[in-house]
Amino acid sequence: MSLDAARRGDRASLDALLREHLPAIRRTIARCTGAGPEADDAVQQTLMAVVRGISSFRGDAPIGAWIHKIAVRQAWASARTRANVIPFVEEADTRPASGEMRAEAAHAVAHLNRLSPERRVAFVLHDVEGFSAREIAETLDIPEGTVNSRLREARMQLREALGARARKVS
Amino acid sequence: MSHPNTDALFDHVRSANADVAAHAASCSACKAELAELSALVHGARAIEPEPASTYDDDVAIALALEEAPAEQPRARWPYGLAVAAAALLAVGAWFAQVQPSVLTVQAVDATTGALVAEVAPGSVVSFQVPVRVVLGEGISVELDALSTFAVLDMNAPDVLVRLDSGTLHWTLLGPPNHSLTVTTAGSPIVVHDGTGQVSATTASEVPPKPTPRPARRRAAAASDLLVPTPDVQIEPMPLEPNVAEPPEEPVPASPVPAAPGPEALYKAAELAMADGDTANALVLLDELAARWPDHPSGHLALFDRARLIERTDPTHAAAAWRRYLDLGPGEPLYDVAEARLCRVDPPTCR
Repeated sequence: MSLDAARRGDRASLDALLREHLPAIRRTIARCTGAGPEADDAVQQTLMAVVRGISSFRGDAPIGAWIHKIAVRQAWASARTRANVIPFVEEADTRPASGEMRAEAAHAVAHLNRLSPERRVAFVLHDVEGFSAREIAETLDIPEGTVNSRLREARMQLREALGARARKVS
Repeated sequence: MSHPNTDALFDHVRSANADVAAHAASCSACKAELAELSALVHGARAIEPEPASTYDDDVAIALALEEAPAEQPRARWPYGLAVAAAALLAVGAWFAQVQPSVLTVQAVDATTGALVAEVAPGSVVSFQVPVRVVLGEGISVELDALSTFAVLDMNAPDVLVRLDSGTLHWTLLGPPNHSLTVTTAGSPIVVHDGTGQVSATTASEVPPKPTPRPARRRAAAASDLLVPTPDVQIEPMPLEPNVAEPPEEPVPASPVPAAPGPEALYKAAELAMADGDTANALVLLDELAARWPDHPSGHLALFDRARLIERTDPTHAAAAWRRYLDLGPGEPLYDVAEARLCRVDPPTCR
């Protein structure tokens, strides 16, 4: 697969590029928004955005990073769209994790599902995917301070939830 | 070292910190908490979406929709508009040719139990009250008061109304005691209550206006939410003396609860979708889209509705997606809807 060919619009190269990165796109979006139809929509939007924008990709960063950024933005847009329409209620999302998911992941999903979209994305990108607050701020086009405050809120909420669980177990 | 704060604990999970590690080695509480936090983060890293069966479709659709040369602006579905114009022209032409007889059905059922009228293909149907025509399970078209639509073709997915085996289902949401006027090319209208024939009438046999009757008991959760207007029922309008149903036992009327707002309605629909209760979800989404057509949740309802229909009734999926797309390219999920339409109706895909 040639990236240059993909940038020139070669269909086979674009096809190969999308297929190569699709699992990572799906994984990032699932972490940021959860599984389900909303995630599928964000995946589709990401693929379309990649095809739309590939000709303008300058190669300043690895193509994977560029695609990842698009995926995060689409996940973020998807979560925000719905959150704007239906105000987030912490207790509302009780959807179970996928049956195939490992117990550890399912446990994480259950906790992530209780975070607001803003906190979830900040936490996932920083603590799960390892991006810096500055990188997240650039990706989401929000101030770095906002990322930090959302991250702190997410961490505190998660710690509190885990502590509550530990107390319940004991 | 005192107990590390939340950020220090999470930072340690992300990147080991010697001070935190040393503290945790001698503090069982922090050690246990770190184990919990670590399990959470590692669990999140282990999240893997289920393998998608739509990989090929997703990629192919993205390529098909976005590969158009830059100098060609993307088509934005003037298609729906064309269909609407064609339908209007057809109605006009039909009216010019036909002097229809007027058949009046005096009573309507405002509950979710749709009435059934057998209407011949080519009929023109008009309503004097706002009407929601339910086209099969969960699919509906909202009509304004005094609106008219033509049953142009039973098999074409693009007409506003499609008959199902010669039967048109509708649910009236209008106030009680309004008459529903059905104009046909001459075929008598036969109205059922879902269990059998109730009445048939012609213009010369318009029955007196019915008196309101107590509300029927409702069973469906969705219909419990959709009660802004009191119910009325079909009044027997017999052509023949023996056709009428025996009168129902009156049910004590219950107070009409306040109508839910768009957010509450969407939340209820969301829960129904999560429960797999597609029928209820569709009723709620239809209602939401009809009552709040300009509200973001009304738009989102159209999107979710199309997605449900795609899953449960693929033959109507294209029309459902076009309905969302008719909202315009400014919609946040427009691209996805475009892709979905492409999936369910490949000929429309560039």
